[in-house]
Amino acid sequence: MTMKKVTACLLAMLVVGSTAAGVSANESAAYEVPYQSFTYDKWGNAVPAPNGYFPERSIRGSDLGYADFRAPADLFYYEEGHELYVADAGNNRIVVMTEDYEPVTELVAFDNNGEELTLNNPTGVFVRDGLLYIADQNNGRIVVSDKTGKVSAVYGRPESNLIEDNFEYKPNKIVVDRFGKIYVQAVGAYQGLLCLDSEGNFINYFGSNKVEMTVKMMVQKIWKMFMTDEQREAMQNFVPIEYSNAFLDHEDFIYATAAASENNTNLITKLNPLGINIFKTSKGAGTKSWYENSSFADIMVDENDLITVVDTIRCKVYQCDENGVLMFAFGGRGNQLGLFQTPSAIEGFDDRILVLDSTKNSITEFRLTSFGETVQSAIQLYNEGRYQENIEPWQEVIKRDANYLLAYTGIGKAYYQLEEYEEAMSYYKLANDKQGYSDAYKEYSLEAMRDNFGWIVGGIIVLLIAIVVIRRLLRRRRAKRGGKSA
Amino acid sequence: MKEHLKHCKYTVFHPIAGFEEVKWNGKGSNVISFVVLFLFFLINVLSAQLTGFSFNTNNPDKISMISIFAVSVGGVLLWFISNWAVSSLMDGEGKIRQIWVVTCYSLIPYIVFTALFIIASNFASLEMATFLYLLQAFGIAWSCLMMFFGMYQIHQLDFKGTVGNILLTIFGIAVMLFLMMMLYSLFQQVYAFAYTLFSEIMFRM
Repeated sequence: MTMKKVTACLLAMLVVGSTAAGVSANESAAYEVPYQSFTYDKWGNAVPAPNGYFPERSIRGSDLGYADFRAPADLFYYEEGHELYVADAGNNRIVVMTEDYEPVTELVAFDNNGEELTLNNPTGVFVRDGLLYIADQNNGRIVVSDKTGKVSAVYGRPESNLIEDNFEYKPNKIVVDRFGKIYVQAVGAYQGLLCLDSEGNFINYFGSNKVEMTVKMMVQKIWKMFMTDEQREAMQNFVPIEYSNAFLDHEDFIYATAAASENNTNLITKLNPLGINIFKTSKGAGTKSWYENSSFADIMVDENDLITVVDTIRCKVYQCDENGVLMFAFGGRGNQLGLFQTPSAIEGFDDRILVLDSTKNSITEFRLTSFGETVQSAIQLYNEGRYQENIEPWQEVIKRDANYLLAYTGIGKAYYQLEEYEEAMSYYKLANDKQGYSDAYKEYSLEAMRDNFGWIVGGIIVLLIAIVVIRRLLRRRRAKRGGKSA
Repeated sequence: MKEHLKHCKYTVFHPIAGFEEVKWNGKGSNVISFVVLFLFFLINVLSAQLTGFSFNTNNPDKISMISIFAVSVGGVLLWFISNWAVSSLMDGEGKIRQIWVVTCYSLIPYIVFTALFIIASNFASLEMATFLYLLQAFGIAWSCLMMFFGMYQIHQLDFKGTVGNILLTIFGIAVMLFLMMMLYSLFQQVYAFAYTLFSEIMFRM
């Protein structure tokens, strides 16, 4: 009897358990990915993390009804037209589609005042005010045309004393600011971006990277002291590393990426109008190692100043906040959906990130998960100055991932702004944020001083009086003793 | 004991005269020396554990008493042995007890200022970091000066000789560390050899 009951009970449990498992398997299947997302804990160790983005689908050229992409090099999202532009370098064409991946047009032959104009290895495309700016790399020119293929201007090799005669002009990527100034990232132009005016005339080089002093360089410098001139000639020269890509954000700041090298650790630069890098990474644990030894192919910055880059070495996509603290890392090398071979460009809008792969010849669409949404909404609330509302989403984030460093700093910052310094201190402590803690502590101690000013001053006065009295008593006693012994 | 404590306090502020007494009048207590050494160890543990959050770079999960002991007490012992060896082989008239007393007494300023640093670091923001580190550096400088004057007195060397003596002592420490490392790795190999031999025999049996 009891035996039967037990088995029945077990069976019931099994049935319930399996259905529950089935449901949860279905749910988790929705977020299953062929890679492990990670963040950094407060000591800088990489720890598994929930997925911030999820690979939803991949889009190939044939899905649009055109020929497949071949080595596509650039992807651009045109906000006003809600359109996506792909610079399909291998097929010498520009493919235009809507943001829902419906085909719009395919530009192969252009009409240059009645003459036919074709592209040769177009590696960059940018759209402003309905005009396409195409970096026609192997023809060494920039083609400006509209969506129908009607060319309005062609800018060849810019003329200037600053450009060396033997420099082969190969425009690679291109951005155009709201005043019509054209910034060209050309192959081998280590002096920076070529800045052209709206007529295509060369103005200057813009925002060159600096040569950083590294150990290897110092060793070489010492070696050079003992070398003959010929040996010195044979050695490599240290020139600034050239940019790999450029991006224009909503405030007209230009972000540029470069590969890590012997003399460069500035992989991401944010250039102000003077061409000076104003991107500073914070020193915390979250920026420690994702940033090093990468070779970023492209960069994308959204309205909240969240930066997304794609690395060609590890084939990973990283999203970080404006101080370079890692938020999400996803992707990897491989053939499955969500993995890449040679990521060449990245774009993003709404809750989407699109990564173009020039070996897989496809675009991979990532969508924000609910976890990622919570994180981004918290950051957005903070940027808007709504500190009180900011705390709740961060708490939600901590509930899902107790290692999420940015959440603790976020709550700490929020409490700091709300002038609840003790709370702020405890959260900064959890994030191991020394500077934040120190700032909060300073305010806290000031406040404590102000509140207890009477007590403190009173205490000091009482202490002083006590010291004087005790001293006097002791002296009197000593005098008595001295009298006795004498 | 009271006498010794008084002399100890005097030595911290007047190292030349104080250590002269150690040299010629047999002043300086072994007990106080051991207590100071223990305090030195203690203050190192405390500074790893109790330094204010803004100034403490240690991961609390990774603080090890044993390694702190090895570095602090082991370091002092290394200095003591090396100095004794150097002054026995070369110039230097210091007796082993005198070297011991000088070495340990010299730690006192470091201990005091580190304690002050620990307390202050709990009430300071990072803006005051320079002052706090200055405080700590001051303690270290004082200790070094005391050590220098102590060696100068007990070994009865001139200025140049004392500097040479100290440099040789540091070199001696390096040599000892090197030998220790070598012995360690050698014995590790001997152990590994014996262990594999043993397990091999066990497999054949």
